[in-house]
Amino acid sequence: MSAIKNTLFLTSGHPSQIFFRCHDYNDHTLDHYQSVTVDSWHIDNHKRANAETVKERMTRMVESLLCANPTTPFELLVVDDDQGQLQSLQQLLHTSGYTNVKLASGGDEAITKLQNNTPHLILLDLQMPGIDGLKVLEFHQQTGLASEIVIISGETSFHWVKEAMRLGAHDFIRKPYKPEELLTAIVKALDQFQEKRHQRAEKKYNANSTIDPDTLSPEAIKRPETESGFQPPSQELAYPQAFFSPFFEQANYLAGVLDHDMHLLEVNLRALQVIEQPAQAVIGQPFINTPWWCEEDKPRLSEALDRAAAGQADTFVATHSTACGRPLSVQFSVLPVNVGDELYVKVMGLDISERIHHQHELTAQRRRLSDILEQAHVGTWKWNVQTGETLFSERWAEIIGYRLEELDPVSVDTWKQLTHPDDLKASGKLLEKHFHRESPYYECEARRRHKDGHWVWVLDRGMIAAWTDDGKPLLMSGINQDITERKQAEEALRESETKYRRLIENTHDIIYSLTPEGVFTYVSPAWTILLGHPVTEVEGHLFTEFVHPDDQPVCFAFLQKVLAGQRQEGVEYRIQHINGEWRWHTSNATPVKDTDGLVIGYEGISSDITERKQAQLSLEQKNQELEQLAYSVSHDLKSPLITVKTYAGMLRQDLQNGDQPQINQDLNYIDKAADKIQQLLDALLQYSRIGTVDTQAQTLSADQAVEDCLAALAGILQKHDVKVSNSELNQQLHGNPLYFAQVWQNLIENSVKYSGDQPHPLIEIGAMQQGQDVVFYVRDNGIGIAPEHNDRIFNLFSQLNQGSEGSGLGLALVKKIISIYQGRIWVESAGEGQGSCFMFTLPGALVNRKATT
Amino acid sequence: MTRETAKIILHVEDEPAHATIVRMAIQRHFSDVRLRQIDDGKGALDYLYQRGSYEDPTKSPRPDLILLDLRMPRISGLEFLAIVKKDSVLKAIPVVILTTSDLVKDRADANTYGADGYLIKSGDFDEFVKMLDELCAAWL
Repeated sequence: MSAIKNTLFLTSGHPSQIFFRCHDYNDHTLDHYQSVTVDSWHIDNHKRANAETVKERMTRMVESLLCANPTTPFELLVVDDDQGQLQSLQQLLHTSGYTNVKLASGGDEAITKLQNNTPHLILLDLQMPGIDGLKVLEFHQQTGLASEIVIISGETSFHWVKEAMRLGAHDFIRKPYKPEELLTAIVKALDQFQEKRHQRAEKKYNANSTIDPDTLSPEAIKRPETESGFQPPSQELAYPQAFFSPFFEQANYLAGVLDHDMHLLEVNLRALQVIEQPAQAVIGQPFINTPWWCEEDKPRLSEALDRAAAGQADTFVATHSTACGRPLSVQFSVLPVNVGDELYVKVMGLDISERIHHQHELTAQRRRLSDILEQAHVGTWKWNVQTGETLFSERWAEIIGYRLEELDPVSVDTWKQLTHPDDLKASGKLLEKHFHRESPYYECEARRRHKDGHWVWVLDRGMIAAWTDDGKPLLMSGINQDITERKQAEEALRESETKYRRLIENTHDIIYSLTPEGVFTYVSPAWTILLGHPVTEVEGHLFTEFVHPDDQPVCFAFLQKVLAGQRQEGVEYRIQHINGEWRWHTSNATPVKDTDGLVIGYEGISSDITERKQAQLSLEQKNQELEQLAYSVSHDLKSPLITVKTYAGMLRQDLQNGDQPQINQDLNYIDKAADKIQQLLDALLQYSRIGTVDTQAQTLSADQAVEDCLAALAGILQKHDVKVSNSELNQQLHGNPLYFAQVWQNLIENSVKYSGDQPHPLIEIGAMQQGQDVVFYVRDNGIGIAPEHNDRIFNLFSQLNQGSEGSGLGLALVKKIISIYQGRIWVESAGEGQGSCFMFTLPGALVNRKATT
Repeated sequence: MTRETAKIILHVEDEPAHATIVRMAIQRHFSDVRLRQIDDGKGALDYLYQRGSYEDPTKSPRPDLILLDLRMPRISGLEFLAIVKKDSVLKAIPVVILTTSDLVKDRADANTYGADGYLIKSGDFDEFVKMLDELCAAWL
């Protein structure tokens, strides 16, 4: 036996398989054992002779080492009515390292014990007189105890098993049992207990959001492990299989055994995985120099090893730098174990990196959240809806100018008192909605009274965090954000919008926007003022519906230029008033572009320039007239003057010659030329006197005007034997009566003058409706007029010639008068000899028309 | 001032006083010129095309020169001019404008429509005679 120095676990894959390597004291490899099971040791043939010795020695050593497993602190309660069973179970548990075992010989005794104390594990018989196992289970469940329960029973009916499981039993062991079967079940149940305890601890932690992050330190985490106090390891032997398997199966456990010199004797696979090295590299090395240890942890390890040498157990947490670079946090237990007179040290490490990492994550998350809240300058609140208790953050108070302590004591009333009454009402409604789960969260903008007395706009958001069991809101938390600036900006925006709207609505110019196709998307109310249509009858309509057909090309060309991306101005066009009247407008327009620079429409402003345009047109007309006057002066007045001058010269000669007939002829021509000059000057004067201002405006019927006219012309008509057919005009005219008389008089005279050789001259006077216009006409059956002259005849002096009667100003005068009343005149004739029909309108003078507008 | 064969001048003028001036000048100073006077453009065209009252070719011989007033009723001088100058046969007849107008526009229009000369009527009979003399020397 003394030949064996140590035995190594190399690995433990299957619960029942362990690989061993033994060394003698000369450090020679003594034996290889492969695939060892508890029942049959398959020993290498190499050194069969020593096999039994080795097996015995090793088994004892390993078993005793493993007895010092942290299961020892657990308290167990065994319940069975059979005293024999109780005793044998207690014996088994003791030898397996469970020293804290209570016994109960019946259900009633078990319940009494449970009322005083909660064991970690209950081993429970089912069939007992009086209170049976199921009743104990029931009690256990109802009182909410945390013990794990393993049933040990000869009863195997499905009903019992099902009931027991329903009542919270963890496992079911059938009598008679194998000891290892029971021990495995116990280990599993205790693992389960610990797992649940971790969950409970986490749950408790998560529920308690005010926990200081410091309490999440590794010390806090290990607390559950040590709360029952550390129990010195038992030296009793136990069943190795039961301990090997859970121990080595645990992926989180690093395990190893040291000799009394603190050299590493054995190590498990998990530990080797951590350092990514084979066992040979570390076995036999001083433990403190193995790769598991980084410099920072060595002093603490050294301390623990010293204690172990002195027979004391120790636990600590080490942060390891590992070969793969990932820092591991391992909670180490260092346990001295005496096997015979030999001291061994068992080292157990629980990898808590995941948990630490998780806690760090959680802490970091909390910190990030708190940073966000801090940066967003957000106040937070928590509210117990049932009790009215509230918790505000410092920032919550700061938003309204307080320090938190100034508001103390706080409750939900603090909030109610500080919130604007109107907003409180709205807020209450929104809360109710959330409480009834009609809205996923609560959100409300409310005014809160600042310490200085003014109101602060706050965005209040929150959510129910917990509900009572009967579905009422219990805990609610949320945030507060100062949105005063945003509110003020909104207000300012609204004000400026109102201002601009007022500006737009008060301007006399039309502000409009058009789609690229020319459809109005907006027109300002000025449209209605200037053009009469309600805005709704314009928006959505094409601009061509309103613009004069003649002016549409220029408008399209204008928009085309705008479409090219440039602001354009100054287009002039006629646009129709709802009463049919054409108004002159001018417009500027700017392209509206989207983010890609694509033109998506036009915006523009247009103003009424009708008066300016009319003034301009009338100026142009006057200029034209002036030009014609200059022409007439240079030509038509010049002609009779030349006559006078030439015949005056000839008269002088004829007087010298005493040629009386010639003298008479000369004088006659001079006389006629003088008359012509007189006539021309009179006509010019008359023409120039026709103004645009009706100083003598009267209302009279058109029929009356025609009657007066015919009376005045009776002599001429009779002389030329002209028959006049006069139909009712039925129009009231407002304007200068002399002008109206002049229009018909000149037209009738013109007809008489150009009656030609017509044996039965006839003049028809009348009026008719043409579309919207009332058209007056004077038709004759005279010489007619060639179509190419239709326009020319209305020009000043166009008919002026020495050979015909009259000044030649007649039709020019008519045209001028008609233009004063916004009318127009034109002539229709089938051609020479076919007669003429002069037609004209007087829209500006029609009384009934005026009344309708 | 005598010519071997009598030349024919067609004078188109609606103003009698002015027509008389031209007639007297021709009678007194141009014995070898036969003058025909018509008072409007329409009648003058009838003459040239020998239609209407001018159907008899012996009474409407082809003129060697046309003197044309611009401002006339019915068919103006310019219209008359345009018709004559578009006619492949008549366009050979020289047409000289005789008018009171000294407007640039009238002169330009006359030029455009193919007038062969542009004379502005003078208020002095002797000067007018002299002008006619130069005209006849150039065109007859």
